[in-house]
Amino acid sequence: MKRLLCCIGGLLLSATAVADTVQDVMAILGRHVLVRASYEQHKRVAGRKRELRSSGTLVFARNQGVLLEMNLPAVSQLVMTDTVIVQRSAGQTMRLKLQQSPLGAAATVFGQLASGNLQQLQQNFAVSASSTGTTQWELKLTPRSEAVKKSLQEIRLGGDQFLQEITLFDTRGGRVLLQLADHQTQPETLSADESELFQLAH
Amino acid sequence: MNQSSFSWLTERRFRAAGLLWLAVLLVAGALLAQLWHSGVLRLQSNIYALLPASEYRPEVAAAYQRVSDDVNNRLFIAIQAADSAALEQATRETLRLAAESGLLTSAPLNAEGSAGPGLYAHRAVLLSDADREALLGGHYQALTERALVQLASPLYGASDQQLREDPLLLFPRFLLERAAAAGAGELEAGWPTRRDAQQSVRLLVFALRGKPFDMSYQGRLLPWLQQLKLQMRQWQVAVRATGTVVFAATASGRAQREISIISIGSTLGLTILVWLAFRSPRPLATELASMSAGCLIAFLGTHLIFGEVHLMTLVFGSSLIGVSVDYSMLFMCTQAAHPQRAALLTLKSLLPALLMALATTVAGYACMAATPFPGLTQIAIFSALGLLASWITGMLLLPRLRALDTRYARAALRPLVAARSWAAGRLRWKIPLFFGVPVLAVLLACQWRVDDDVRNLQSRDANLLADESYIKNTFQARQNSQFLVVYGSDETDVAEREAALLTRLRVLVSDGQLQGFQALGLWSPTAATQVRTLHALQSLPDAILQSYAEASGLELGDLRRWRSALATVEPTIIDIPALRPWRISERIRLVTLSGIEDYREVARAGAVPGVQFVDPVHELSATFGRYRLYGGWLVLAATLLLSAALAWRYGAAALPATLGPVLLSILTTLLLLLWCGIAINLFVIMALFLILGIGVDYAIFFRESPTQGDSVTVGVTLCMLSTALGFGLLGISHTAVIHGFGLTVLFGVISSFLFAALVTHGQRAREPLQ
Repeated sequence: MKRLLCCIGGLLLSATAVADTVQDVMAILGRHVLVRASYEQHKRVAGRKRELRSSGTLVFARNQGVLLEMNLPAVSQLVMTDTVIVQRSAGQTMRLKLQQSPLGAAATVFGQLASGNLQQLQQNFAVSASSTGTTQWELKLTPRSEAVKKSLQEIRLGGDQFLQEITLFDTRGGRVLLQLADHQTQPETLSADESELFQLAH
Repeated sequence: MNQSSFSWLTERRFRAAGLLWLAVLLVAGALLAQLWHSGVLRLQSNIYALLPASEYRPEVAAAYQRVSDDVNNRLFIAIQAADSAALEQATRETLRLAAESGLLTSAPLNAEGSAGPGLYAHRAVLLSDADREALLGGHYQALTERALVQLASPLYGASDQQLREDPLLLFPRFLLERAAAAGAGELEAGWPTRRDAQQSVRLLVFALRGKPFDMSYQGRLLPWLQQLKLQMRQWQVAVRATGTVVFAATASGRAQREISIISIGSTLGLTILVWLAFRSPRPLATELASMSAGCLIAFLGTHLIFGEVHLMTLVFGSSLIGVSVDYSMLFMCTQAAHPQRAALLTLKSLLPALLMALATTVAGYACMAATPFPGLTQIAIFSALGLLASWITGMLLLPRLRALDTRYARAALRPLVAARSWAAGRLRWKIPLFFGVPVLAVLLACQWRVDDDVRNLQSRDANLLADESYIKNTFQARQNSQFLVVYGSDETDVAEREAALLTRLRVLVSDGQLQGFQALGLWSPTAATQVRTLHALQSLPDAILQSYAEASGLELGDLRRWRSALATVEPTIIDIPALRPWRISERIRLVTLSGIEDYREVARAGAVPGVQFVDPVHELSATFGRYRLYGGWLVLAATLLLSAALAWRYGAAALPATLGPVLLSILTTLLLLLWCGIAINLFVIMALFLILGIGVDYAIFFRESPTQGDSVTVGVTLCMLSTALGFGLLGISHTAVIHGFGLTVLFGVISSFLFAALVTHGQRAREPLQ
């Protein structure tokens, strides 16, 4: 009986600890008004040997969204807020409401990470957190909606003081890994070009 | 015409006629019972069945029919729950209950999501506008750059097979562009679903398994919905429903309640009136008999002619038959004034007045029947038949009964009789002059308020409107009721015309005049475009494929294989189920519109040969307006016809006294309507018809009676009161048009009575017949 109580107690404690970690991670992510980082992306399509590499910069603007500027292998800009995606490439700008888009599920994650809105994130994903070192953490997001589950299996986020890694696993066995580096928190304002793109999303 | 004209009407023949009529009624009753028993009796409640048949050309009419069927045969149920689990449970349960009820079939939406799989087979010719432009313009760099961006996007997960079949990822970009343009909601298992932090809402769409305007179907569906709401409430799930059937069912439920209230009110009022006038319940029984006979013949005759009877016909028609009470009242009052005289003689003395009154009223209905509104024709025929049958029943039945006692009524109306005899020597035709001119002047000076809005035909329940707007707002359904029809001699012709139209519509969208549109042409390019696209893709330079292969990591061999496989693709019309709503036939296509800012701009874009812009609500209202004017001319024509008949019967000099009161009454009624803020529409004009018929009756009754006869005063007063009771109650209706109709007749009847009482007097001071 005593052991059982201990077990339950332990479970309760660990559950609170996990919740705390999630809260902490969201706090870390929401600490800076603006974070710029360079990224390198490795995308693997199931059944293909060669990975597609791309790189560019990633801008997390608190309460606004995320801007992914790809430089290689082609130039494009992709803005993701919690409701809208704007993509610009080869002279074409496309604005999509997330609800209209099959891409919506994954994009919401970027938008919600930027907004630091845990409650909204948990609305769409089951969130679990673990500490992998003294300052290292990992978040695991599993989609709740049946529609999203069809294409997206899981998202993993890892980091320390900053977000360092994002991995998306699709249901077909494909995987996208984004590695972030050179995080900068200054300047705290968007450039004219960046603002223009965020404007399009509002 | 004097009483000798009716010398053929002997006691024996009168009795034989009575028996014959009784036999007719019995046969009619048996026939009706038989029809009811065999289940062929049909009550129609579709308010739009009252309207004239489509004036469109056949292609447009076919599209119109499809659109209204699609709209009318759907039921939308929004379920709103606190969390996903409750939403899923509510969805399952609602779908299960719907299937179990046998009333509904679930109809998941065919939006972009479900169009995708069927379209994929045609991917070779389906390019986004931007890609097609780049391809046909030879800007291959732009094409491969977009493909690379798409391929590298963290948001896009391609499969190996897809990369072989569509290495430039043209098809997903086509779908993305369509999704960006269309504004369709996120579909979960075919159902649009919205979620936020507080709640999840899902829209379930059903096809009706019955007719939306069939009242027995409505009678089963509404309780089912009510039950669903109650059950869902236990799970904290809110249910809202909208669709034509819900509005129609509520409106017909209300109409039925109104019919009961109006008939109970009328009956009650009439009972009190009859008791006060005759101190006997007998007239109630005889009126009931003649009214029932009237309704029986009217219902049977109308059903035989039209194959169904409209609910509106019952509402209006049964009150119109109520006018027949007038004839019996006049007879009973006259008989009561001369209790000693043989009843048949009294009848003969009254026949000229009664026949003239019947003829003028039936003539009024005949004019109404001549309108091109099927509903009005039906009401007019129902009323004319009913009135005739009711008149015959009354006239054959009443003389066989004892005289009643109207002493109290006569005593009560003595002041009116005195006023009449005072007016007889003094006022006469001066009244029309003194009153008519100023009233006419005021009427002409005032602005007429005209309202032909077809939506007034139906009472719109506030709760239902709230549910409808909630569902529309939540799921961003901004599809307009307006649409464009494209037609041509064959599929190629119609596709070319549609393509030209869509180009013009795109300009409107970019100018902000239009939010969006849906058309087959957005998904299925014209044959010429398909040929050009295929040709351009097959001519993609090898160098471009090579550089793309290097940048993307795809195999050059796969790219070349894809290019050479394009040679086998044949241009074809993309005909998948999801796109059928926009393809009426090979020669007719539909373009639906959403978020129209300026109707005229869209109409202008559609003003080319082979295209028609259709605005159902506006056009029906315009039709109403046209027939209102037409009705106005008919009233004028009927007045001229009446004046000719009255001049022939009473002489032209008597026209101010015979026609004056009713004309004055029409002017007064219009003035009162203006004051009450009731707009003039077709139904008010139709009420004027009725006033013309009834008002002239009063004048004729007074005119045909001995100068100082108080029995006619009592009779006409009772007529007026009973008619006012019937129509005054129509004024309580929630349906704007019935309300307006009721009040118009009420004002008209009272004012006709007052003017006729003061202006019209008997000319032949004939003593009671011996």
